[in-house]
Amino acid sequence: MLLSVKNLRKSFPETGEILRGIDLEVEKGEIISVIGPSGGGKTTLLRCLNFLETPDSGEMTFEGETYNLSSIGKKQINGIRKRTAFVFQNFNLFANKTAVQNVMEGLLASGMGKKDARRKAEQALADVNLSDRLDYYPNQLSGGQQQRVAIARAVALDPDIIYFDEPTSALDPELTREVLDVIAALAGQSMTMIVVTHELEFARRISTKVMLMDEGIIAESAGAEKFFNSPESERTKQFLEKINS
Amino acid sequence: MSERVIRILIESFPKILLPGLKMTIPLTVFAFSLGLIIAVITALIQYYNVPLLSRAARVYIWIIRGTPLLVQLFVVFYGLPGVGIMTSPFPTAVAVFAINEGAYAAETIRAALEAVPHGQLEAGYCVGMSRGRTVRRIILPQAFRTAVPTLGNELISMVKDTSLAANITVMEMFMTTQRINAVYYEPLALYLEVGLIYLIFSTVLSRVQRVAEKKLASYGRR
Repeated sequence: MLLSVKNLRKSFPETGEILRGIDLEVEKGEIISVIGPSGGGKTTLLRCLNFLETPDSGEMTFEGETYNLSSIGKKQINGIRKRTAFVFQNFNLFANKTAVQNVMEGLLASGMGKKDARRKAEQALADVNLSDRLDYYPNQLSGGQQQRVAIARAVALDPDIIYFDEPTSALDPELTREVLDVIAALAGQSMTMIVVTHELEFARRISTKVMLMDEGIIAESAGAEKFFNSPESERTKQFLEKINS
Repeated sequence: MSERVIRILIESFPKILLPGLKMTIPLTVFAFSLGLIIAVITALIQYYNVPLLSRAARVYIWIIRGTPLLVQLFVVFYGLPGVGIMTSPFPTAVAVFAINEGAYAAETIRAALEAVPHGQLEAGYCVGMSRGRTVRRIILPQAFRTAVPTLGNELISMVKDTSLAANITVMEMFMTTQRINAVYYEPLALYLEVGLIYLIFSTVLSRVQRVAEKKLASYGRR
């Protein structure tokens, strides 16, 4: 087991309880898609897994170590973050850094030398077909290109798991394809990941497991084919019907 | 204009310009650089919301921005010797101008820091960077770009404000002009002349500011 979470809870003063006891297990090499209606807690769950939001309570086991989420310390959080990566909906590339510098930043922070970091960053950008954009600043790149840089930035860190938070939601439809292709390629290499997405066809194609999140709980969790062909929960049936109608 | 006035103007020009180069500019450069350092520290204290220090920073900005620069100069130069702290003109001017600039620029930089999207900090965390490292390498550089136009204006203001240092016996351009006027008594011509020199200084700085802004306007935007 790479990652497991038990009874994760999170509430915000303005909106009340967003996560109402999440249980989650991720094996190495698994590709989990999380789908569901907006406001169901998908993004909050992902952000809690990387401590961009502080969970209120729950338990996390990551690579054999168990942490109490209500009392986890800064050092432990940094330790976990060093082995995970995150891809944001709106990319969040460093605006003052070029594409290749964006990828290098995390490598330099981990103590890698400049030359090695540069070489690795160039390779990572080549893997997302951006070798010709190394020295471009984010605002000189299209949304799809920016998101591919962001993915390269995540992959270059050699993380044990990558969290994708609606990676194509901020993109025009014609740019979505190029980003999905890159993620699918990663899936093909058995990179462990959790993908929050609205792209159901895509989820069906790449996932080993699909989850439906609604009203702060995981309503259904099943293999991709089973999830879409014969879902068990009423909630999932409703959701899929609405989408397909 | 009489020949006499023209002769006085020509003769006094280098005499006024020289202290401009030797006093006004160094005073501005030292005070502004020092002021920026004070400002960055003060702004970061507030950005990090350091307990106690954060409140001290507010009080500092409140007092400095709420009192005239001339009064601040007088308190330090004429007031402090009364409690046994002796001060000499030039260092006093540098210190007071720096402290004054620090308060204004701190607000500029704090606002610029807060204008950097929060996602930049989160992205830093997610690639394993500490907050300090992210602020240093990602947030501050972006904030500086936002702050450059305002800081440029403050620099130009300061060049002109250095004339106040004449009141604490710093022999800068304005005081030199006063001295020359005391000999020839041509106030209109001489004060217009020193005004012109200030104008030249400000114009050069404005040009530099415009070029800097264009270069820094936005990363890579062409």
